[in-house]
Amino acid sequence: MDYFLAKCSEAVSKYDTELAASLAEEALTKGVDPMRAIEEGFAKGLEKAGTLWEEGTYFLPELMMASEAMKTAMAILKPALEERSLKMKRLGKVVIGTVEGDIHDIGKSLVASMLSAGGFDVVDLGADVSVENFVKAATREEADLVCMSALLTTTMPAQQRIIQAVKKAKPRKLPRTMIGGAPTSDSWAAEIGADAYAPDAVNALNVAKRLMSS
Amino acid sequence: MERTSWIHELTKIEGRPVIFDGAMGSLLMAGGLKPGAVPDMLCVEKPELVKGAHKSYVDAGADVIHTNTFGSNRIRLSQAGGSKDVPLLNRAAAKLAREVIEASGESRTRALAAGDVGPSGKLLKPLGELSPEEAHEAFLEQVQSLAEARVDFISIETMFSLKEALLALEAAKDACSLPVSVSMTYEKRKNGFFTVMGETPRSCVEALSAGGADMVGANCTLASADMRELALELVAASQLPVLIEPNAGQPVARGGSVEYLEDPAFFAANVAPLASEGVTAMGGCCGTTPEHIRELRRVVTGK
Ligand code: B12
Ligand SMILES: [Zn+2]
Repeated sequence: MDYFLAKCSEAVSKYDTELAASLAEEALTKGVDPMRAIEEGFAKGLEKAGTLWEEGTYFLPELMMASEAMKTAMAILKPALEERSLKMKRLGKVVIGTVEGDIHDIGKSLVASMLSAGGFDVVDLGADVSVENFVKAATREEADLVCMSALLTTTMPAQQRIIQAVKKAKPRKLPRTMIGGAPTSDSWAAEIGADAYAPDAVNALNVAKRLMSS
Repeated sequence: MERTSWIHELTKIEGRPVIFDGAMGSLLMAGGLKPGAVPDMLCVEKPELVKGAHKSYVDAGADVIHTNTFGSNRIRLSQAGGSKDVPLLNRAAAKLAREVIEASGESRTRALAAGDVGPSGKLLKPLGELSPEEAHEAFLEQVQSLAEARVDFISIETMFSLKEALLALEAAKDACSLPVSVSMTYEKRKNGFFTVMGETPRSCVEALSAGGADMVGANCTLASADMRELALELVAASQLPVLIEPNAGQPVARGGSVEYLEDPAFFAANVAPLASEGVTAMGGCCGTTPEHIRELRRVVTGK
């Protein structure tokens, strides 16, 4: 069993999507508790990939592919979880995008992918997203968390405009807000009233989880 | 040790590095380009503004100026809602650079026009949606148009993926017989310099050399001091001439605008000495101004 779970973990940390998929199938046929396969198997692999990335061993491609492998395994296990009415632990609904005037979307997509692989439901609005569209999506989706990426010093102020506009729109559920992107920082987050900042995709997942449980 | 090269022959420069221009964006913004707008469109919308920026670099002593075509490939333009007529835009841009050069004095000492080719802005498969064929076609179209309008060589720059850089290089070689320079952008990590995709300077230099590049280099992302360190690695790894274009420091927000804090003297003091380390060509990227280039030219000429 432990060996099987270790294989699940390794499939993700070594970003082998095909192997992750066949292990997920195997878990189903063998009757492995799907929850356990995820939490003690595949998710561990994603953590490992995150560590390797922080150490400088992995780069953008490896991290993107690891989160793809994770998402693939989750998609296969999802029906089994639902059948057993073991609702997959969904952490919350995230609306994410790159702010208006900014087309840098690589970092944002990686964050979206990590959040989704880590158990959030993610609605990705893409890049160059207007303030209005952020507000509309946050309201429509009843988001728990709104994530904004800005890579240009000149587009950072849009994060503040979005945070203010979301508050002003008074959605039924007031979402938390998290910002990121290379020129942003903790102090910028504080200045504009964002609930959180994270320097990279791995931390973004941890910070988002913490936000949801506070 | 100085390396003489095709670019020295083309520019007819001896005994000093070839000086490239600096950033265009800030000059264009000062002239009315809105943040978020596509700078390349100004080549048809406000040609005089673009010519003014080129002229200020030529007057500052640049031996090479880049056409204002960093984003003028069909993939980026269609994303940005820019012009549909990609060949027209590239030809217009090359013509502006040529006009400034030709008005600048006697032909012997005139500057060269480098046809600027930037990244597509999309990720290649399997990470993204872009197929190698689409990328090749986009670069082929851009380089063909630049070459038709008589740029002197092709300068592929700010590439953050070696795969994409190789596709652009191959397309440039297919499209024309001009020399092709390829410059990547690297980040400094705790264990060395890497592209966003994780490629090392050495692996880039080797692959680009094998792909037929005529010059290799690094630009953007790094400030001048870090770029010095990287330049030494590139020179050590390469048989080809090396081009270096650092940023003038890291961007900082000042009110609603961006500033880069390295002044011309600091910048030139870091960059100019690389000539004696084997760097063939040097200029500036984000945050550099005609004043940075003037000072760099002054220091390398020893005046
Ligand atoms: C790739 C790139 C481009 C590509 C973008 C392709 C794309 N589809 O995204 C292209 C070529 C199109 C481009 C264009 C431009 N670029 Co650019 N680009 C870069 C580059 C080289 C890498 C960015 C990147 O993708 N990094 C990899 C990802 C994984 O990292 P990341 O984005 O930082 O994201 C991580 C964290 O920041 C964080 N994060 C990101 N978003 C979020 C969101 C949340 C909520 C959280 C919690 C965390 C988080 O997690 C991510 C993953 O760990 C950087 C320089 C660099 N090396 O950083 C310049 C850079 C960002 N660009 C810059 C500039 C100036 C431009 C242009 C204006 C240049 C021009 N003259 O055209 C244009 C702007 C176009 C526009 N209107 O947006 C500057 C920005 C300076 C500044 N701070 O203002 C930089 C820093 C280069 C420099 N001067 O040093 N660029
Ligand atoms: Zn730059």
